[in-house]
Amino acid sequence: MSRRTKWIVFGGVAAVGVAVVVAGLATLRSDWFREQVRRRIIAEVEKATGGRAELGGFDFDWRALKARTGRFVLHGRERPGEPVFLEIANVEVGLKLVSALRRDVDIDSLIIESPRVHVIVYPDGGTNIPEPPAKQRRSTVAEDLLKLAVRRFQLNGGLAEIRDERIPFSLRGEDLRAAFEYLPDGPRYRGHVASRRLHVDAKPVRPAAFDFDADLMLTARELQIEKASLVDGRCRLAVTGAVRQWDNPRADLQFESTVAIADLGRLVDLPIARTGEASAHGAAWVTWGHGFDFGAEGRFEAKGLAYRDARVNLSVPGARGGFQLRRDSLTLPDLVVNGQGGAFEGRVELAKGFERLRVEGVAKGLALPDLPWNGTASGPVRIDGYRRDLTIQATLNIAPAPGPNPIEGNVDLIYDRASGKLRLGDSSLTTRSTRVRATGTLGETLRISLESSDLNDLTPALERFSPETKIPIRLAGGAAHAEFAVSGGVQTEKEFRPEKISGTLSLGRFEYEGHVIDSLRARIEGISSQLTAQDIEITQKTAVLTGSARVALDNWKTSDGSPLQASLRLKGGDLESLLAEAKQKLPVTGRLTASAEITGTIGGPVAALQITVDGARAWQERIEQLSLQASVANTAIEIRQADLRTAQGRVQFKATYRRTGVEWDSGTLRFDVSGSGLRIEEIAHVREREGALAGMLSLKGSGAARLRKSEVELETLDSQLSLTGLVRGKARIGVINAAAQTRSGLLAFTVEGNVRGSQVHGVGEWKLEGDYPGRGEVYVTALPFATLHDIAQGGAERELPFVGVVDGHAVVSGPLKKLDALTADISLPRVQINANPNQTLRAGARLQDLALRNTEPVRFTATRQAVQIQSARFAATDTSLDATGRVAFDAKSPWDVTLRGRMNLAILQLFNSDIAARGAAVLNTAIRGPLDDPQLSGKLELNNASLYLADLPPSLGVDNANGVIVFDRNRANIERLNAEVGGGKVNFSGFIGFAGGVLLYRVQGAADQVRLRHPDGISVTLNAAVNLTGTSENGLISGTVTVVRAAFETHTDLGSLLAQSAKPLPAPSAPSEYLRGLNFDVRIESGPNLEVQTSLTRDVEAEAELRLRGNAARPMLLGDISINQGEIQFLGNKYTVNRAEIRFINPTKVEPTFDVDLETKARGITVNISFSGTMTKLNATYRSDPPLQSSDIIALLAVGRDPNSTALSNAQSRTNLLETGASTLSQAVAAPVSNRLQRFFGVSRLKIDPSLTGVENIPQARVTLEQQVSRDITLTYITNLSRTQEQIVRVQWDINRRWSAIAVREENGVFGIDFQYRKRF
Amino acid sequence: MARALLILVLGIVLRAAIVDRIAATVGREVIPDSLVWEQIRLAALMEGAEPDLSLENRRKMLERLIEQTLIRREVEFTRFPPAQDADAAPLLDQVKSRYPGGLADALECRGVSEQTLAAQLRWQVTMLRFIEYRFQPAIQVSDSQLRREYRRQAAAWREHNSGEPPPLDDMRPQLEKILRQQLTDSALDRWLGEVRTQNTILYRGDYR
Repeated sequence: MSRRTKWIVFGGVAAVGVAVVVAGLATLRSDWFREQVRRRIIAEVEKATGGRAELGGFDFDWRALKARTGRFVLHGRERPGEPVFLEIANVEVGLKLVSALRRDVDIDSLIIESPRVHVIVYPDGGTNIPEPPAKQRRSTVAEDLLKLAVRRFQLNGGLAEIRDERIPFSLRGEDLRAAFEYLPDGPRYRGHVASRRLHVDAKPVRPAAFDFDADLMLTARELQIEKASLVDGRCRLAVTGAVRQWDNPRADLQFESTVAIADLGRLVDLPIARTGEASAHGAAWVTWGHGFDFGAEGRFEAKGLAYRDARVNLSVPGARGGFQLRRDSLTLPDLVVNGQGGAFEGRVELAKGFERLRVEGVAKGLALPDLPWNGTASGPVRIDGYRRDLTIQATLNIAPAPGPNPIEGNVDLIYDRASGKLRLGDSSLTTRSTRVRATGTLGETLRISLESSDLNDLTPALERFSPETKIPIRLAGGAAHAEFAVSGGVQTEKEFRPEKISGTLSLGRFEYEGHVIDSLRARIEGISSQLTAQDIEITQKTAVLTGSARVALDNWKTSDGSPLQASLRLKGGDLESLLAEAKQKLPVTGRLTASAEITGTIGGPVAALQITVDGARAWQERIEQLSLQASVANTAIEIRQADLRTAQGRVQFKATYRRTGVEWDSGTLRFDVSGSGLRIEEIAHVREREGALAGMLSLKGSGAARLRKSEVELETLDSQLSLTGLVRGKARIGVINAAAQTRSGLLAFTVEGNVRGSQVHGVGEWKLEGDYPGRGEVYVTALPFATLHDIAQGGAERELPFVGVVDGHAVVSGPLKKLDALTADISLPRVQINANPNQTLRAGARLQDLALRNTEPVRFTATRQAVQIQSARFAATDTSLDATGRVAFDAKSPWDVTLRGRMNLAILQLFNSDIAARGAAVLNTAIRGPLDDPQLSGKLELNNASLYLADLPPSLGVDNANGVIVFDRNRANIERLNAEVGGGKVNFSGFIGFAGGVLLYRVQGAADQVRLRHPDGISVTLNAAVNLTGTSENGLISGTVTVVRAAFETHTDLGSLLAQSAKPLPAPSAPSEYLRGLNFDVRIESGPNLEVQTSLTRDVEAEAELRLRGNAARPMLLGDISINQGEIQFLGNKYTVNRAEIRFINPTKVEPTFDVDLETKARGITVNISFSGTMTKLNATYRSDPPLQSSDIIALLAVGRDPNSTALSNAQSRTNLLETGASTLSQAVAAPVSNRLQRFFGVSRLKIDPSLTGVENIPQARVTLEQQVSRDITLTYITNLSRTQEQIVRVQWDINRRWSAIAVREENGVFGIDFQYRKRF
Repeated sequence: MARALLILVLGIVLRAAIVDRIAATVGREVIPDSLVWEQIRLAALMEGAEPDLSLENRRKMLERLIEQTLIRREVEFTRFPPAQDADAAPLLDQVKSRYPGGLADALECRGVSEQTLAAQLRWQVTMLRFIEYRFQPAIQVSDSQLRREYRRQAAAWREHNSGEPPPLDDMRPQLEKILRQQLTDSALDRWLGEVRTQNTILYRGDYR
C-alpha cells in the first residue's frame, strides 16, 4: 500500500474514527444515551438495593468526566403516606479513568446535594430500608461503599431522619454535612459528619436539638467514631467508640458529658430545681439490629443542685456516684448526695420505664430542711413507688445542731403519697422546753402527746404550718401536758384540717391575757362544728372553777354568733384576787362560791348565776354572808334575790339594772331592800366616825334611780329607817325613826327621836329634779347639857361641874346635790347653865352666882364655808359676855370673832371644879387668824382675883391678884400682875404663849416671905425668884428658893418622922393639866440665919443646900442638910448632936441618907449612937463608955435596964438564936442525904436521919482512904474502925491504857500482885 | 444428863417467848429491862405515887442503875458490910405510913414483894453509908470555906429572921457537916465520872 493509500486509509480511518468519535460524542451527548444511562442507573440501583428508584435526569460532562443526576428517589418499604426512604436533589459523580482498555473507571468524587433520608423502624422491628434479594447481598454496605473507593465523598444540605416507632425514638439531622475521603490503606473512609440541629425525640426525653459533629472512620467491619459530640447549649456529650456487626449493628461507645441542669431540664422532667451542673462519663452501647436497645454505665458528679417546692427548699451542693442506665431503668448504686450540712448515701433505682423509684440509703447529719429548728437528721431512708404513688419511709435520729432552736429526737415515719397519709411510729421531738411524741397515722388516727415548759417553742412550727393560729397563753413557771388523738382530716395547701380532735389538756401555771392561772385541766373534744370541754378544772390560788362548756364552730372557727353553753362552778374563790384579775379596784374581800349556767352566743352570752360570798368585807364593812341569785344578759343584770347577813342583822334586796347605752355606766335601776337586826356599831363607817356609837338599825325601802355616766339620779325613794337602842359608849341616847316618801317628784323626810326624854323632831322636803332643792327643820326641846356631855363622852365617868339645858331649832335648806350650797340656820332659844347641886362650891361661891344663861336666842348660821355668829349673849351674876363674829373656813384668816364682857371669876368653877376663883375680870378680845392657830388680841383685866387649884395646898393659893394681861396674837403678856401667896407677896411678869393647843411659858415670879404649910405640920417661910419656862407639855420651874424659916409642928420624934419621910412622896392621884408636864430645877438654900423650930429640937442650926428636880408627879431632892449643933429628942432620949448630915443623893426618889452621931447619958453610961444609911437600911451602931453589948445598950436606952441583968437573958437569947439557926441549919445538913436518895433511887419523900448514915453508926465500919499518888499510881487504904488490924492496902499502877498492875495487902496479911488487861470490843 | 436433855427437848418443842431484854451492859454486867421496871415500881411505892413507866423515866432509872452498879462493885471490892433489917426499919415504917389501908395492897398493885422492898431499903442504906465512908475521910474543910459558908448562911438567916444570926463559932459544927456533905458529893461525882470512862457501858433496845 502506497503512501497515498496509507494516507487515504489513514485518512479514511481517521475520518471514520473522527466520525465515530463524533458519533460517539454525539451519541454520548444525545438524549437517548442519557436516557439509557438513566435507565441503567435505575436498574442497577434497584438491583443493588432492592428498592424502587426514580431518577429525574442524567447528565454527563465527558470533558470533566462528571456525571450529574437530577432528582433521585429510592423507595423503600415505606407505607403509603410515609416519606420515601431516600431522596436526593442531585448527585454529582466525578469519575476517573483507571484503564480505558479495561474500561475500569473509578468514582473519584461523589457529591450529594440535599439528600433526604427517612429511616423508619416499625414496631414489629421492620424498617422501610429496601432490602436487596438475599442472593444479591454478598457484602455489607460498608464493603460496598469501600469497594466504591470514592476518593472524595461529600454530602451537603442533607436531611436524615430515623424514626423508631418501638421506643418511640426519632432522630432528625438537619443541615447534614458529610465529607469523607477514601484511604486505600485499610481500605477505609475517613470523614466528618456534621449536622446543625440534630433533633432527637425519644421518650422520656423531650424533643431536643443538638449540634452534631463526628469524625468517623468507616472500615469494612466497623464504623469508628473517633470523635463525636452532641452539643445543645451547655449540654455537651462527647462520644468515642465504634459501630460493629453490620448485620446486627451494635455501637460501643465511651462518652463524657457535661450538662447544665437548667438545660437538661428542658429535655427531661427533673424532680429537682434547674440549677447546677452535672458531669458523667462511662460506657454506653446501642443496638438496633434485632430491636433497639441501649445501655450506659459510668459515674457522674453533680454540683449546685437544689430541690424546691412550696414547703421545701433543699440545696444539694454535690452529688456523685455510679449509674447504670438501661432502656427502661436507671440505677445509681452508690449515690452520695451532700447537702444540708450532711450527706445521703444510698442506692437509687428508677425502673419500669423510669416510673418506679426506689431509694435506699442513709441520711447522715442532714440539716432539717427549711424548718424553724436546728437539728440534723440521720438514719435510714427508703423511698419506693411510682411517680404519684411513692412511699417514703424514714427512721431518723434528730440530733441538735447549733442555732437558736435546737431540736432532737427520733422520727419514724412512713409517708404514702398516693393516699397522702403520713404514718408515724413512736416518734418524739424535743426542744429546749418541749417534748412532742407522736404515733399513728395523720388522716386516720394520730396520737400526739406534748409536754412543754415553754410554749414559745411551738411558735416557729405554728408560724410555718399554721400561720393563722396563735398561742394565746404563756407558761409562767408551770408545764403543759397534752394528750390528743387527731382523727381523720384533710390536708390543704395551707394547713391540715382534722376531722376530730380529742384528748386531755393540762396546764400548770400560765398566763392568759394578763391573768395568771395556777392550773387548768380539761378533757377536750372537737370536730369542725363543735368544741366541747368537759371535766374542766381551773385553779387560781384558792379558787377552783369546774364545769363543762360547749361552743359551736364553723369549720373550726368561732364567731360572735357561735352558740355557747357552759355550766361552771366556782369554789374557794378569793373575791379580792378575782376582782383584781378583772381589773376592778374595789375594796371587797371574801370567799366566793358561785355557779353559772351560761347560754347564748359568744357575742351575747346569757348567764344565770348563783353567788355566795362568805366572810366578806366590802368598803370595810364586814358581811358574814352574801348570797344572791342573778341573771346577766347582754343588756340587763337582774338580782332576783339577795340575802346579806351580818353578825346579827340581815338585809334582803332585789334589784334590776338595765343599761341604756353601749356601756354599763348608763342605765336604770330599781331596787327593793329590807333589813333588820343590823347593829350600827358593826358598820365600819359608823364605827370609824363614831366609834362608840351603837344601836339597832332596821330599814325597809324601795326606789328607782337613773345612772348617766356613773352619775346617779334618784327618781323615787320610799323607805323607813329606825334606830333603836342608840348608845354612845356607855351613854344611852335613845331612839330615832326616819321615813322618806316620794310624791309627785317630791321627796319628803320625817325624823322623830327621843334622846333620853328630850324630843327631836324634824321634817323636810326636797324636789327630785335639778340639783334637788329643798328644806328641812329639826327641833330639839330641853336637852340637858349633862345628856350632851354624857353622850359626847360616851358615858362620862365624871359629872359635869354644871347642869343646864338647851333648846334648839335648825333649818337646813339648799340643794342636796350641792352640799356646798346647803345652809343651816341654828337658833338656841334657851341656853341655861347652873352649878351642879352635887358639887361642893369653894372659895365662898354661891349657887346663885353660878348661873349662866343667854339673854336672847343664840343664833348662828352655818354653811360648809363658814359659821356666822349672829347673836350670842350670856349673863350671870356680875357677868355679861357677848360673842359675835364669823369663822370662814375658806378664808385665809377664818377666825373673826369678838369676845367682850365682864366676868365674875367665880363662874370658872362652873367649867372646872379644880379651879376655885373669886374676883372680877374684864375681857375684851378678838380672835383672828388661821383655823388651827387662832390669834388672840385684846386684854384681860383682873381685879382682886383669887385663884386656888385643887391639887395644891391652900397655902399655895393666889389672893388679891390684880393685873392686866394683854393678848397679842398667840401670846398673853403679863403686863402687870401682883398677888399674895401664903401671906407673902408675889409678882409675875413675862408671857404665856399658846399655839397648837400647847401653852408656852415665859413667866418670871418673885416671892417674898411666902409661907408654905404642909399638912404634916411642916411650915416653911421662903423667898423665891423662880422662872416658869417651857411648854404645858414640858415646863420647867427653875430658880432659887431661900428658906428663911422652917418649923415642925409635930409631936412625934424625929426618928419616926424620918422613917415616914423615907417613903417617897406620894404622887398626886391625878395631877391637873397645869401640873402635868411640869419639871423642877429649883435650888433650895437656907438663909443665913435659918431657924429650925420644932418641939423636938432645941438650938438646932442647920444649913441646907438642896436641889429640887423631877416633876410634880415624881419630885427629886438632891443635896444635903447639915446640922451643926442642937439637941434632938430621939427614941425617947435627948441627944446632943455631934454630927448630923442628911444627904439626898438618890436621883430616883426622895431618900434621905443619914450620917448622924448622937450622944446621950443613961445611968451614968455615956452612950453614942451612930446611925447611917437610908431608912430601909439603917445601920445603927451603939457604943458606950463603959463598953456594953449592943443589946445591953438597947435595953439600957429602951427600957433603962441595968446591963448586968441582961447577961443571962442574952445567953438565953443566944441559945434561942442558935436554936433558931440550928433548925435552919439542920435542914441544910440533912439535905445532901436526901438528894442522894433522889439521885440514885428516884425517891424524894423518904427522910433519912443523917445519923443513920453517919460513920459512927456503922458496926464493922471501915474507913477507906484513897489517894492519887501520881498520875499512874493510886494508893487505897481500908481499915476496920473496930478492928484496926484488919487493914487492906492496895496500890494500883496503870502501866498503860490496857495494862494495870495491882498490889494488894489483904486484911489477913496476904500479899499479892494482880495484872489486869482491859480490852474493849 | 437427863435434865439437860429434857431442857433441850423442851427448848426445841416449846415456842420461844421473850422472857426479858437487856437494857444496858456495864462491862460484863447486865442490867435487864425487868430491873428497870422493878426499880420504877419500887420508887413509886416509896413515894406513894403511881409509877411513871414512860420511856423517859425508864431512861433516868437506867442511869441510876448504872451508877448503882458501879458503886456496888466498889462496895463489894472493899467488902463493905451491908445494912441490916434494923437499919432499914425506919425507912420501912415511913413507907408503911403512906398506906393507911395496909402496905400489902400497894405491893400487890405495883407487883413487888415486901422482901424486895426490904432488900431495896437495905441496899439504899448500905449505899448511902458507903458513900460517906468512901469519900468523906478524904474531905478536909478549910477555914475560908467555913467562913464563906457562914456568910451565906447568915444572909439566908437574916432574910427570914430579924436581928443578928448566931456567930460563926456557934455554927461551926453544923457548917462543917454541910460542907463535908457538899464536898463528898463533888468527890463522888468525880469518881463516878472516872469509873464510867473505865467501863464500857452499852445501851440496848429502846434505851439506845
